[in-house]
Amino acid sequence: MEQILPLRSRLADLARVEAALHAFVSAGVLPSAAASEVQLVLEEAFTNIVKYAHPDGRDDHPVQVRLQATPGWLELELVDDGIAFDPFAQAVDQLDRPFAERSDGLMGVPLIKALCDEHHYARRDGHNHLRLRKRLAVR
Amino acid sequence: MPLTLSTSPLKTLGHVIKLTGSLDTQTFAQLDTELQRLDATAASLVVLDLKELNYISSAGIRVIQKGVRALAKHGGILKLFNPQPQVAKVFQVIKVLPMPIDQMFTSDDELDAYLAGIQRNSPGPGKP
Repeated sequence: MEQILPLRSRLADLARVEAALHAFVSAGVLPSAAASEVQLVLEEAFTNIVKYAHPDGRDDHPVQVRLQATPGWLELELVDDGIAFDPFAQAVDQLDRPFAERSDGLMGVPLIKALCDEHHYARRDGHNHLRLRKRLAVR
Repeated sequence: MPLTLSTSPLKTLGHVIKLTGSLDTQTFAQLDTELQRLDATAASLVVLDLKELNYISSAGIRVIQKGVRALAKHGGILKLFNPQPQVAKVFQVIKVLPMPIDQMFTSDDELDAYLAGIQRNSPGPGKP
């Protein structure tokens, strides 16, 4: 099962992501137990694009989110045309600093890494491609 | 998923905010507003009751971090109470914990023991 969501760089569009995940759960291709983690991964990745990919701050830049479920796997891909932005290269590892002393940027990147089995970034044709894969429990 | 907050006094020692629902990019501002309101009262102790919180993202973690810092400026502290497993996992990944060993309570008994300790160590009326 595959769904491609043509979104814009606005946080309100996360509601469409949530709706798509519900559809995957209803179709039986995404366990409900995993849906919450997938929603969190997508929220973190999408929010980083909204906050960092476009310095002009406009909320109408295109962001494509693709979800594809295959037996045992869920693949997520986010594509945007913002400035070159690799969240995995940008994140400074602050986790060893006391919680209250850390800056608040890119806090979600450790979550993406922890909740996905694979994460890849590529810059192609002026676009950022963020591809994430999550292993699903076999029934 | 929406967020509902319910704030009540915590004996005479502070306040407890019960969170129900989801603390994310769409709802974090509600908690931020409430924490700022309590901070303005110079609250010394704020406990976040997380038993009914089903989801938290980094936006929620960020507002908790902001609350910890704000309260600390006037000697106040913020504590976390009884998170659900998926919420506790987020705290673990982002290493919100370990903070001081008693930063998060996982039972009413732990919270009661902590509050009793505060009361024992607080000067009573007329005492130095």
